[in-house]
Amino acid sequence: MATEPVEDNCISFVEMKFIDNTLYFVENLESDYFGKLEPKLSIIRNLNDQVLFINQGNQPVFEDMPDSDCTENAPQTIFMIYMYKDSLTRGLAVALSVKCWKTSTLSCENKIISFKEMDPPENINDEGNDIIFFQRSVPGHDDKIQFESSLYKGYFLACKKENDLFKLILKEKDECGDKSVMFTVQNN
Amino acid sequence: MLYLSWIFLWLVTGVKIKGFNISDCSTKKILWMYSVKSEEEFFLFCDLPEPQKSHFYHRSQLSPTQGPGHLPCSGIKDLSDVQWYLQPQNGGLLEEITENYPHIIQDKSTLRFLTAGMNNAGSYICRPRIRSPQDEACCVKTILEVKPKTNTSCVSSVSHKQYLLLGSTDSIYCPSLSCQSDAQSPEVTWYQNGKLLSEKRSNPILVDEIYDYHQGTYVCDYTQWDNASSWTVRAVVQVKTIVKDTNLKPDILDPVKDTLEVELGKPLTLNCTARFGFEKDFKSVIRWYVKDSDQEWEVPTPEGKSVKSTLKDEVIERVVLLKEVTQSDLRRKFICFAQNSVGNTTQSVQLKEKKGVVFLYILLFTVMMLAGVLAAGALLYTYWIEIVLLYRTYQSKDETLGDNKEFDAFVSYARWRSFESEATSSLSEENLALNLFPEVLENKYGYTLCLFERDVAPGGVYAEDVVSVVQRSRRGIFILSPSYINGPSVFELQAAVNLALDDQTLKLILIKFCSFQEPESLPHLVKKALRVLPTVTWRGLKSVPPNSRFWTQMRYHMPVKNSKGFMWNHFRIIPRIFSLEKTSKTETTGRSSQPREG
Repeated sequence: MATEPVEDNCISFVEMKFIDNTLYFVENLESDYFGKLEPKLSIIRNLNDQVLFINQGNQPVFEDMPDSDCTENAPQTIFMIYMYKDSLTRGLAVALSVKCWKTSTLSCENKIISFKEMDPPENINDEGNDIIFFQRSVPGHDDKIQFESSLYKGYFLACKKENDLFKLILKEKDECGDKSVMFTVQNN
Repeated sequence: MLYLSWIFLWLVTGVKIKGFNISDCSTKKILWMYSVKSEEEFFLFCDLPEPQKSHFYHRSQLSPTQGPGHLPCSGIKDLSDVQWYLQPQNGGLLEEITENYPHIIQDKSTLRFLTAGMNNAGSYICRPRIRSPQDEACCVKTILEVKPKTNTSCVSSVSHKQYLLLGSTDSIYCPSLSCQSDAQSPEVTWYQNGKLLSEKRSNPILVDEIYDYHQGTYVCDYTQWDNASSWTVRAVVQVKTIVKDTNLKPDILDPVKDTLEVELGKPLTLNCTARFGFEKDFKSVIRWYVKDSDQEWEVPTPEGKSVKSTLKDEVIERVVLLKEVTQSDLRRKFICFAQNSVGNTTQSVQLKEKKGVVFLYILLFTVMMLAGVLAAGALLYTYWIEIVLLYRTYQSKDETLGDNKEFDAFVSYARWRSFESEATSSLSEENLALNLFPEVLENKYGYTLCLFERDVAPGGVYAEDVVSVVQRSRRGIFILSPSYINGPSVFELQAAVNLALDDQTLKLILIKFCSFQEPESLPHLVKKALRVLPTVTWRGLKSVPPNSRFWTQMRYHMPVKNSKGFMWNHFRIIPRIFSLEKTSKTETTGRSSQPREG
């Protein structure tokens, strides 16, 4: 493999040990269409540096927030990105959850974004699911992420201004460049 | 007449000619300044006036005859489905531009010129394919003029292929304006992939943050005033978004192991797959070398081909084909070499003969050996007697020397035959004992036999005679049959068994003349002896000939003699010298009866 890995290009999703020329995985990994792995606690921001959080009305919205407020507003701002092992190689399959009194998972059912009151399931026997998104980096910009729905191909999570609110929606990417579908993910 | 010739001309050329009034078309004038060195593309757009919009893109489009009342192309639904026509410079009829045109491709509503040349100049007309009669005026006529760029215009010129680094800030330059200073820069209209970029009006276009969607074909137009008319000067730029050059050496993905197991004589394909990081200008190098002791040379193989190409990497594969793996190939090392501008990596492969094949041979060999041993064993067992006899003829051991015995063997048979068993099939025991045995064993094979009828003087005590004869013989031959076993002659056997227990040189041979039942009254020792002693089966007429298996078995059990006369008798070679010796020998061992110890 590469002698010098590029920074931020590696996602440590399972504990590994290298003993005597053999690589050991510390946990037992199960393979399924989508098999859940350990979550990463992250803060998601759009390209205007607005932070995504779940508001009182159970809606995902973006807001300008200094870093200190970010941690204070936790757990509403902390999203648990559950990574799933995919049987096909389409990108990193993830589910987004937030735990604020109860665990809610982001769903794009009927192309409408909402929070479902549920824990992300252990295994999903489907090729596409409303809570599973493919997390991919923007070509050439390794720090920027796009989330494509596994159920609706070509539809991405995006930030849209509606009245005074910046809402999280699902939309098709514009042909000539769309920055509203790009986010940055900061891992805790 | 002219009309007919016109039709004839039309038929001959076979070109579809449409005659329509092009004077109503809105006219544009475009100038293409091409440089002779670089490969350039050029685009012509069909900017049909859209009915909804009240103003047009280009200033010089409105023709004076058009009034604001009726907008042309108002009835056309699909303005992107257009037909292009060419009016050659020397005048003449309109030609439809079809797929067979050299160097010109129609891409939706855009006309694309693949190569630059003066012959591209002319008037190009475009109009919708499906139209109604009132939309006859819906067309655009573009007068294209092509001029080569002169070298004297400027020193540095911008390329028609530009690369933007993703994530960075950069600008896109219009090649036709590269020679003008900033003060003179006019307003530039930019198009990306056929769509107007309304916000960009300057040269160059500054891109704050370059993303992959900035890639494409850019067209920059500016207006040049030439006396009374205005010309649009157009240039085309191909923009490609790239990542920065890699700072890693190439990776060899395959082969991984240093050794490879191969089979001699079979063809072999050695595959080298290497991954190269992105580099804008560098051409990747992947080669196979062969190292034989000190020499190293490159293997001529077909060029490497790209298996996978992504934004950041390219995977290239190169194959070495060996028609037949030879012994010399096993000594050599095959080295795969991959290089880019950062460095190089190598992976060497040593060919090893497949252990499995050798193992198979060893296994096969062992099995065959075992089979051979078994066969040999079986053969040995079957022909043991013959082998021993053969061995005896070559060895010089003679057991008969110095044992003070007179006879080689005595023969015991059922002398007093019961009259019930008178009828015998072929040969009677008496006949066998008295005639056949002496004929074969004495005459042919030179043994000395003792027969009671012949060699024992009458008048003595029977029992004492028996003991005396047994003591003077090396072997005892007993012809067993029901009459023997049930008759008095079995005493001879009993006596011989008892004597044999003390005398090591006396051995007993039983001949099964015919099957019999062991009577209960037999002494225990005799019964045991019958079970243990060597038995030769008499098979009737089959056994009569002297070279039968019966006689071979007999000879096996008879004493080993190796005297000269014995040997020569064996081979029936009786030279004169030895015949005298033989006769003297027979006299001493002779058939004359010996005086008994009484």
